[in-house]
Amino acid sequence: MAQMAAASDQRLLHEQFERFVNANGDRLLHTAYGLCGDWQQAEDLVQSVLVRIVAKWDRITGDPLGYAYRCLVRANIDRWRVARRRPEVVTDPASMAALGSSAERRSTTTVDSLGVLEFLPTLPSRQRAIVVLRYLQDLSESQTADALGISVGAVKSGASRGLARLRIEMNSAREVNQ
Amino acid sequence: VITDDEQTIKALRNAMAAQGRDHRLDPAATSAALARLDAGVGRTRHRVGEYLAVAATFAAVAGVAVGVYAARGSDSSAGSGPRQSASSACSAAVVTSALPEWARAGFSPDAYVNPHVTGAGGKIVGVLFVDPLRSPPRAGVGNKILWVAKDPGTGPLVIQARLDGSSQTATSTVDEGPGPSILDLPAPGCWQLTLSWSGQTDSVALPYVP
Repeated sequence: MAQMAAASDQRLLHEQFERFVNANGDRLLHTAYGLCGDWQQAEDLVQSVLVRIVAKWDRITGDPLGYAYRCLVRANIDRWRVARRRPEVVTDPASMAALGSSAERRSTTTVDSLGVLEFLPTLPSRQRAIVVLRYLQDLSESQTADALGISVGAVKSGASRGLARLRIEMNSAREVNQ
Repeated sequence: VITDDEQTIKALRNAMAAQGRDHRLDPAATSAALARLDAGVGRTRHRVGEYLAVAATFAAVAGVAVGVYAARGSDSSAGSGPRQSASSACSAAVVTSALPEWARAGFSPDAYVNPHVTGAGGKIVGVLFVDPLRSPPRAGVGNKILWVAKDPGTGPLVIQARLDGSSQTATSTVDEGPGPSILDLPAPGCWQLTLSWSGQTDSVALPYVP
């Protein structure tokens, strides 16, 4: 009997979790891209966050999406720290040369072809997270503050500085391209 | 020229809307997360909690440590360069059929059929999220493989790879043990993988195409 109850609970958890991901998966992926600037890494970030969320599903209090945003931001910071401590070792220069360096790829692109999202990585990580959550995901100032574990005042100032810096970057790039 | 916050926000939103249309979350992401959860079923509560906590920290290393390949082997002898395409025998190792029953945890019934490779010893399955695997990987498309072990254990999964027809080798470590990984190998061809985790070993062949 206990086993049947456990199986039923597990099935319910699966269904709830699947509904959550179906409803919010794309949103999480786009948020992750805004945070890290790379679609492949964004997929990995979301994947790892989903593992964390499903493990705590029955213990999450409040909005699971808010919790997911918090996990994404932290996971992105962790990813950045690990990458700094243990940078990738390229062992096959020929194949990597074929891909081209990120600097090369960037230098051959224009504002119009890439879009302004390419300028998000120029922001410091906190400003970038504020801009992504506040303006791309439409979170309120207090929701953004909660997701990032900072004050509403810090959100306001970070958003203002982030937008100003983005504007400068975007306008500079347009001038260069003209 | 963008002159105010409103225009900046509008430009950002338009760009995300345009790019977002082409990027949707892989539906297999749900299955993979549930598979990780189900892999912990049967352990003691303490062990389950410990296992999942470790899995959570998988976040940062998933895209880095898992896809990192280490030392290239000793120099290839003259005239024995790596083959540039996977052999048909190697390609045949990847089958698109129903996963073994023990590897289905977390997959919905309509997702039981997946391209996958099975270890020679039958101890591990690699579910391919990308078919064919490519070297170098295509921009934005990682060589994602979900490793499902009969007995996942608790230690890291070490993958030692050797390219057929070459002395080229690569190693990769999935710190949290069998689970989702991105395995980008440095050259196309047929790679023979030896997988070791928690005192167990198995081997698979994986074809990578240019």
